[in-house]
Amino acid sequence: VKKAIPITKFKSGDVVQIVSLRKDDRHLHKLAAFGILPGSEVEILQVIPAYVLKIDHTQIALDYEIARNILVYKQKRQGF
Amino acid sequence: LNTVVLVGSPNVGKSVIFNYLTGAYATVSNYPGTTVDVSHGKSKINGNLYEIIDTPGMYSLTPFTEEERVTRQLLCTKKSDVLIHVVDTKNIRRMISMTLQLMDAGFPVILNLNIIDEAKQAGIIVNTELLSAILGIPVVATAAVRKAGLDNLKKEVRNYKYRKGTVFKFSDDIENIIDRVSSKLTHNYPFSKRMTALLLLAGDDTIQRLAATEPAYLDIADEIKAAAEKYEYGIDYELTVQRQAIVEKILASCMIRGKPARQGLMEKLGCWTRKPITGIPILCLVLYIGLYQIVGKFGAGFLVDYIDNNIFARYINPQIEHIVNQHIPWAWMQSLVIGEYGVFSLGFRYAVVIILPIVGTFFLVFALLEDCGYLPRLAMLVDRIFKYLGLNGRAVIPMTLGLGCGTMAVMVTRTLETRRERVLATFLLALTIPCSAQLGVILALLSHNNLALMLWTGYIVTIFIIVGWITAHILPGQRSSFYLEIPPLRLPLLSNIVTKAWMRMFWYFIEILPVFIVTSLIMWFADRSGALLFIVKLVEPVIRLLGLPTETAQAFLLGFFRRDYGAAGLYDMSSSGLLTDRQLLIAAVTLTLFIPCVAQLAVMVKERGLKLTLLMVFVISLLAFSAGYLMSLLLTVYNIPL
Repeated sequence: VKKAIPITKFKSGDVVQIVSLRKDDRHLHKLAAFGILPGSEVEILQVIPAYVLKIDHTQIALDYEIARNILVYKQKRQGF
Repeated sequence: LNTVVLVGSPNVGKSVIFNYLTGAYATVSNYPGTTVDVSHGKSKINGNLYEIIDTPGMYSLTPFTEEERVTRQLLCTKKSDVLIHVVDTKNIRRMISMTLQLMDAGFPVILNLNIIDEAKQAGIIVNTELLSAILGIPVVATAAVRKAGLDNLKKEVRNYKYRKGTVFKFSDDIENIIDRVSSKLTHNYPFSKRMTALLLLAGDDTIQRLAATEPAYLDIADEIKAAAEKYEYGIDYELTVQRQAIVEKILASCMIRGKPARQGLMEKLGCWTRKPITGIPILCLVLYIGLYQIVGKFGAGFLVDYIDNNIFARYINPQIEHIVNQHIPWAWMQSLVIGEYGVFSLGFRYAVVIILPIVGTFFLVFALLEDCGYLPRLAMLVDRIFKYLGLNGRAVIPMTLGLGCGTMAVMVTRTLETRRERVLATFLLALTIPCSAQLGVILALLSHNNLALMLWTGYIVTIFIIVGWITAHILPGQRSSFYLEIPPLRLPLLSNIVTKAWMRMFWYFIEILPVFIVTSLIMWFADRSGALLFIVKLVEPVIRLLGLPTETAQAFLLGFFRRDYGAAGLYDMSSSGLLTDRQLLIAAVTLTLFIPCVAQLAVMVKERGLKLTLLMVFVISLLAFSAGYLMSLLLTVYNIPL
């Protein structure tokens, strides 16, 4: 079984699939409202100065503190 | 009167639809969270009069931010006959779950798939009839900005008859819990029993308070507790995940995801403004052109001069003086109108000649940036810097708006999440951020001396950072995290920019003109009665300590009524050669930091409370004069020639 790792370990251009979010994260629900839910496919657009993730047609900027709580698998498919 | 309420996530076009239906104006922009208040309007649809209500954006029925709370509160208290849920079609996947929540709550929902044009561009096609059949509620597709489909929306509102819509079941365990809880509810709730049970399970405070008097409350509380322990992430999250699974199933049958159109210039530009390598130069360029060239040079320089010399000095002033001299025999009354502190010469002329052009150009620039979707990118780029000040990138919006009008900016601090951030932002706004009128006048005052201008900018920025850093470390409370949706860059509609800038300018003018008039009346009275002399005498020692001519005391007193007013006072003094550049610099620094105008103070009291405001006023006065004094010391010690 592949191990889920924080999204902050990836670089821009990577496409990942969300496995889970750290339970203690108080932003769980806000992230859910943006579509950051287990199973969603996410493209990492940039990592500096903040993380910008693309989910479907939504781009969301997150700081490191939030991003590190998102645990993901790497997807085979490369970003477009 | 039938009531139509517009709800939806931020930045999906609710306000555009509101404007269309009512013909009134609500602020429309490409920045999530610009509507912080509820707007009301009336609309005649096929001869029937409707009350239309526009609400601040919310992502789900459980509120997180102040704006969302505003909307939730409205939904709890106001009975709507039709509730239009406006969604951005290209993001339909994450938006429909709120439709399901609204339907569960028993609201009379019409689903409005808006911005259908961008969805098509993105390759997303939704079968609205099929979606409507599945959900069991009316579904209308629109492209509101292009005025497409709005007639259909009107038609649906006019023909609306309550339909409950399909009930989508959660897993059996959860449905059982819902049944057990809702069967114990006996009170009247703002939402359906099913939704009330769901919200109770989600730990909603407001609903919990309502339910606390239920006869079977202890049983209910036990159920909730048991449910909370049953799921790893809590039942609320489980509900969200299951709801999303339902959404996926619904959309699988009625949505096609084709190939998106090729990346256009806007997408590329959107990317460049976001990446630091290209984004930071663009940011500097935007500030330089927007603030310095357009607001500073054009607004505060050219327009102010033109209006003053070519319109007022040539036509209006002589006319008024003629009328006054002709019809008013008493000298005291003449001075009331056209004297040094006259209602016309001080009140009206300052407002129209000096303030209006500056504020007007600022609001135009701001509206342009807002509508094209640049501001969230700005927020993202400066997030790290703002973290040092105990704020996060979100605060860039009130801060930049503060460069236009501090009063408006303090109101917009509501979009910040924690009370701590709101207090910090309010304080920094009051202390360091000069409003456009003040900024414009100061730029005009110092622009002939580049060194002075640079010293002023550097000094204020340093104070902004140092004070922000210190305050952030003193003030207790949790650090906040940054998350923000980045909307696509859009080519803004010129008419929308002009309307928005005009509305803000109008609001500003209506708000400030009376303050100007009243201020000039008070000053005139104080001058005549000798009170002015007395107060000036009181302030003089401080002023002399700063090495400024005693006349500056008046500018500072004026500055209390409006900060820009004070700066305008300096402008007059400098025009008549009363101030050296060194004195000008010290005065500009002190005045920039000095307590904000009456209007901003009033809003501060309203938003942050009297006690905190008084504390801020005290600290700010102290800091302003100390900083001015320090500046004069530094200039002397380092022997900087100006």
